[in-house]
Amino acid sequence: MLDNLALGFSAIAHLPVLAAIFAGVLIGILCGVLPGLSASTAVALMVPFTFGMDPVVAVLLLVSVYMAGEYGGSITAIAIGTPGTPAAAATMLDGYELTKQGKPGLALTTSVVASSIGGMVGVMALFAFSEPLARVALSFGAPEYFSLAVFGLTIIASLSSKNLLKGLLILFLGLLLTTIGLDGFTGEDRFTFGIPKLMDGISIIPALIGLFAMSSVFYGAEDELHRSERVSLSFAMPRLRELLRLWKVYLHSSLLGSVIGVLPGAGATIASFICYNEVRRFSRNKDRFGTGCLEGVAAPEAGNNAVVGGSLVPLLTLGIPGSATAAVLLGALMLHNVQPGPLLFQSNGEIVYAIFAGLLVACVAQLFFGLIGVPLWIKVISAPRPLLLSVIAVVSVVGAYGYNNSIVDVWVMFGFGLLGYTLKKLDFPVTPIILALVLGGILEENLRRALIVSGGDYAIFVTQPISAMLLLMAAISLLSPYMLNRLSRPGPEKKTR
Amino acid sequence: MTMTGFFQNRDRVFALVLIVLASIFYALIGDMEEPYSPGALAASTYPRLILACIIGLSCMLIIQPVSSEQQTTIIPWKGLAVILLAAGYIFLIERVGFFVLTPVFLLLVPLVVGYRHYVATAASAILVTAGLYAVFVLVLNIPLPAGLLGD
Amino acid sequence: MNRKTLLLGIVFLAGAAMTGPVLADYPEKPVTLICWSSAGSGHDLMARMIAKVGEKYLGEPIVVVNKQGGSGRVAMSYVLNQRPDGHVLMTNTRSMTLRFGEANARFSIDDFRYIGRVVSDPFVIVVNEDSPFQTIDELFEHVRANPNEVTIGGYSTKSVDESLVEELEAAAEIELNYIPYRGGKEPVVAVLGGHIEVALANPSEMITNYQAGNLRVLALASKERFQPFQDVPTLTEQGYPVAPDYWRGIMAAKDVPDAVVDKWSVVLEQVVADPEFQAFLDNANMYDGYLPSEAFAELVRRQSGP
Repeated sequence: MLDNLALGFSAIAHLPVLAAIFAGVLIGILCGVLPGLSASTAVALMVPFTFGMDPVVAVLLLVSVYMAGEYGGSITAIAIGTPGTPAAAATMLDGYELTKQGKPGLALTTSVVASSIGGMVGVMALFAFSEPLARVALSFGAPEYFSLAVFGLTIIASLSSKNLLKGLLILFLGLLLTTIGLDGFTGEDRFTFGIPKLMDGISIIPALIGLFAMSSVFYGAEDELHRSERVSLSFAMPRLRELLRLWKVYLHSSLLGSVIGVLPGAGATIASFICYNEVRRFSRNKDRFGTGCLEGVAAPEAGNNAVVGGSLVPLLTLGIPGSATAAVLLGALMLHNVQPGPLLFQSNGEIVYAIFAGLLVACVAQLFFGLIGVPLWIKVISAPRPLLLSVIAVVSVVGAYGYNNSIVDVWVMFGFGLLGYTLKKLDFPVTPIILALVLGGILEENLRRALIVSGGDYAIFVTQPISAMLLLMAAISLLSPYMLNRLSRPGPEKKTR
Repeated sequence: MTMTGFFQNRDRVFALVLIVLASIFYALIGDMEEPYSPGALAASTYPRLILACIIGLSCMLIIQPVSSEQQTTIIPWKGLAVILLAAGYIFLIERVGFFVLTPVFLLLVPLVVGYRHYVATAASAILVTAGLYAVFVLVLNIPLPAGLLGD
Repeated sequence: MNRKTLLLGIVFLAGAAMTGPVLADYPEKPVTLICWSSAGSGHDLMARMIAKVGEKYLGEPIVVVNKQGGSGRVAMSYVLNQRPDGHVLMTNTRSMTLRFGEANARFSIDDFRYIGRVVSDPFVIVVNEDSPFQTIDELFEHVRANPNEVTIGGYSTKSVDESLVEELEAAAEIELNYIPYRGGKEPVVAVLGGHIEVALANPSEMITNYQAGNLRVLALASKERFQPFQDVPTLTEQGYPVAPDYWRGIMAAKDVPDAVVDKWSVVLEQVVADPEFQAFLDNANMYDGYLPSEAFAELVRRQSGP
């Protein structure tokens, strides 16, 4: 096995390949930062550029963009409270809090380190465990996906500790929004009001941009009244010791992310929220989460970059893309006459090993460029607020437009901006909507599909072992806050380090 | 509790609005085709289920005991102004074009918000427009609405 | 010069004379090809390949723009709103034109000019290698004994896939349990994982797993056998004349001048014949389905008719 890895490294030890990796990482970071350009859009945009290139160079450029794009989204999530990718919404929970306390450097650095480690672990999982992981991918059918979505949604319970009722209400609102569009089972129009673009439903990226970026512009405009709240930003970065202390978090989240990434259809967003939740569940000081703790930044970031490696497993072993971005990669590979599938290792083995080696190098490059970028980003957000807000507004509009060349998306973005603004003023949490938008479609689609397959028998959700287990975990997830409250007696607070 | 007292609580008003809207949508979605396979749900079942949950949760929100903190109602003029500017920007961008409208927008927003450093504002307007052009059109090849400047 | 070129020249001049200097030399600037499918799909790949190879023959760059929405409705709307000078074209597929025949269709066949059919993508019926069914007749026997229980997966609802299943049910007098999926590959994944029993797929979606021995093909849904499934019988051979013709091609708005359509027809023919494009078809397991403009228009009319 090791000589295969060596083969991979020798395949990439050429200038064009390395240049492609570095360029890919830079472009990926840039695209992750710009709202509207998710990792999958970024990769899709790069495909035409790769036409004349050697397949190895082309593929490595694209996977580097993919990897770095997942990291890039966390930069804006931390710096300005706007996730650049949906997965970064989980990073924002603690990351933006740290920025508000004047310590963006801590969060930004932790995010880079966690992302790079997560990415590497994901690639190594891809390399070492592709066969068993592929089997995991195949074992998920409709009932399993439904239960996974239910489990994902129960995370809302732990995120809304302040006010569970409000959180649930917003969650259901988000679920309702996912029903907009043409029904996939009967072809009927639901809530589209005759607008063709809405027939495919609400695009999550414009919604995300509106919900966080645009609403922060509206909110920030009136913020001029609260000028005294502004904190000065320090450039301080964490000490090596602090970063190393989080090794358990990195490991735990990366492994979790790799496995979740394997499931076609589940993605970085689900992984990052689940990783965040799981780290919180096993932490001794649950209350620190949401107030700016580094674990809350490290976990989702390690998780969502590990997904990259995971999503390549079904792609390379079965020819089945594990995420939207992997689907674009599949297309790109085919355009370069590489056929991903069970026979790939035999027919184009060197490409596979080159991908492994290349991704590892990409993670290192990402670490390097990311760390350099930290002081840069802090300088950018130190700009005068009114200017920053106006720029964010413009970038939001452009990002939403560029997403699918449609002005309807921009209006969707605007609408969500108003929604986010209203919710903030009314003191309702906004993050549950993201969770709902990501999981809602999976929830309904698989519920109905499972029922068609079983002929209307609801028992299918508990007779299938994986599905039953996930539902059990969901139940535990929902009830555990209450159970733990009952079990712990009021008494002296446990001293923390 | 007086009627006005009831309406003064924002959460309750919001919940009430939700109940009304949800009920309207519940009726709107009407009855959809009966599914052809045994076991399949009609297209309206799931949305109606969600709407019912929303109505239920909103009711619970209404009867929830409220905190007695005073909720001030200042009308956020600056926020509303920016909202209008943004709406105008989006509305006009396909007609007027990105390159003309963006600098205008970038000049107006800080002004409206009360920022006095005009040179910085102007500089940012030009630099940002140019920067976005470079990134989106030159590097990424995404067409931006050209509007008045032609195709 | 041969008759075709002469004819083309005359048409061109006539067109130019009628429409003035605007059409003097089409194309005057890069042409946009609108693709209404997501990036990375087979449909999108075809568009990008046409763009890449077509540049040589057209003389101007061709840019592919993805405009998703409503299974093509957004793209159609957009194309009809552009200046009909031939610089904006779009891809079309059979499932899209099927919709022209629908009761409340927004667009009609006559809204567009049909430039050429490019690829043909036939269907195959696959099962998992562990499946107890070796032939299509064995499958049908089992289905007759268990009506509405055997699950068969395909792409979406009210699509070519679903109508194929309906035709099959009528021809074989059986009742299947059709499961719609959102992406083309999903039914194949579901069969691989043992979640459903049968799947409909295009060769490009299942070929790698077939070659690895994970899938078995029970029948081909086409008039004749095709590579690489030459040992598998077609449904027609087995007595079930079901052979839907799934294709993808290019079309333009109806007011685009004849000269443009003709020029593109020629370019398209050259593109499809180009060795690079043929190699792509081979690798992607799609099939050459080239039909020139008039034959294509006729086909569309015939297939989308009431």
